[in-house]
Amino acid sequence: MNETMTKMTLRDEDFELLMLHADGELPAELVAEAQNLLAESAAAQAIWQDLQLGRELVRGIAVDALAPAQVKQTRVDLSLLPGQVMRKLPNDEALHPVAETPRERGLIAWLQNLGIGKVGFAMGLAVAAVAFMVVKAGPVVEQPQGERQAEIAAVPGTNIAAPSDDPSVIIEEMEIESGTLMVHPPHEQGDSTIIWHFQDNNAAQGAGGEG
Amino acid sequence: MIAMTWQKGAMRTLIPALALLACAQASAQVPQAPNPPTQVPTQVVERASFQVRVIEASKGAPQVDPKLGDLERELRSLHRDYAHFTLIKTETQNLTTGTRGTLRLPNGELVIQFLGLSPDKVQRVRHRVEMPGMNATVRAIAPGGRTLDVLQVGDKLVIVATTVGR
Repeated sequence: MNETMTKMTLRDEDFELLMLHADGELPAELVAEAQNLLAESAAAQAIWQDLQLGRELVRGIAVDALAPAQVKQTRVDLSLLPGQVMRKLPNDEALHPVAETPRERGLIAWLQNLGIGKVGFAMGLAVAAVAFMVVKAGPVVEQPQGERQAEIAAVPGTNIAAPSDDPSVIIEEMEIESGTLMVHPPHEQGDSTIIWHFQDNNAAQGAGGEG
Repeated sequence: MIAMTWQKGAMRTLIPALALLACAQASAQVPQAPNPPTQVPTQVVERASFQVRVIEASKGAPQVDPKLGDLERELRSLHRDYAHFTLIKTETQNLTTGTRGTLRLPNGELVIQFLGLSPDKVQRVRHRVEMPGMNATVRAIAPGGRTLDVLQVGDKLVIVATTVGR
């Protein structure tokens, strides 16, 4: 019983591991762990298939429809959870850890070779910070707001087209809680922009049926 | 011996301190731009109107409500199975910046919040649309622009046609 339960459930960490693997963002040292998980767990295999299916679905249907709709900011993720095709991106970077680069390791090792440990470095940093504040006590010029670049979270692996004309309708942002959202730009000048809101079970049916 | 230990400790502190000081000095040499004049933000009340038509589409003999003449061509090409279109209601929401308007749909509540006018060359009406229990989108639509939101409710389609005006 316990063995069955173990095989049919998946921990959050394992789910994240599979998501990163599906996105090709898994560090090399964790790939074997993900493959072992896939070999041993039926739940992992099912979710892996869903992830692949979700990526194809989103790329094939939603993204192609979004691209000509001049989407400026699309906070969507390609992950597929039960009942969700696209979902909001988390605000934290937990799913996208930044790998430590060899250069960083080299700098730390170099400092340690000089006999500078963490405490010595911190003390030096504190002294330098005080001096830096004295030197930099001049005016601080803020970058004008208009020149700040907005965060653009585009769907990976796709090329969202830049606006060609001045479209009358721009979808700036989407918050997708469930289901799938498809945007069809107008066929002719003066036509409406059509936004389909699909429940998950209706996505394929609606996409195939229209026209 | 004590002197050597002290010297080593001092070196550990001084080397990074000197390095960072050098960086700070170098950055202080870069000429700074003057402070821009402080602007007091002015709260401008902007207005926009949203004409919302709720349409029901069902499977049946092709028929378009005569009140939907301007949408007939688009509705007919919407979905091959849904050909019978009836206008359920029409409402116009006149909103000022930041305010929200609600509208009852067969499956819940539609919320429109007017966010303000965009500063683009083509001035667009920015607003957030929340569909019943589902998704929200922020849209920027030039006056006269129109969207059709299509939802499936039971065996029918609910179509929300929103025309934006100033």
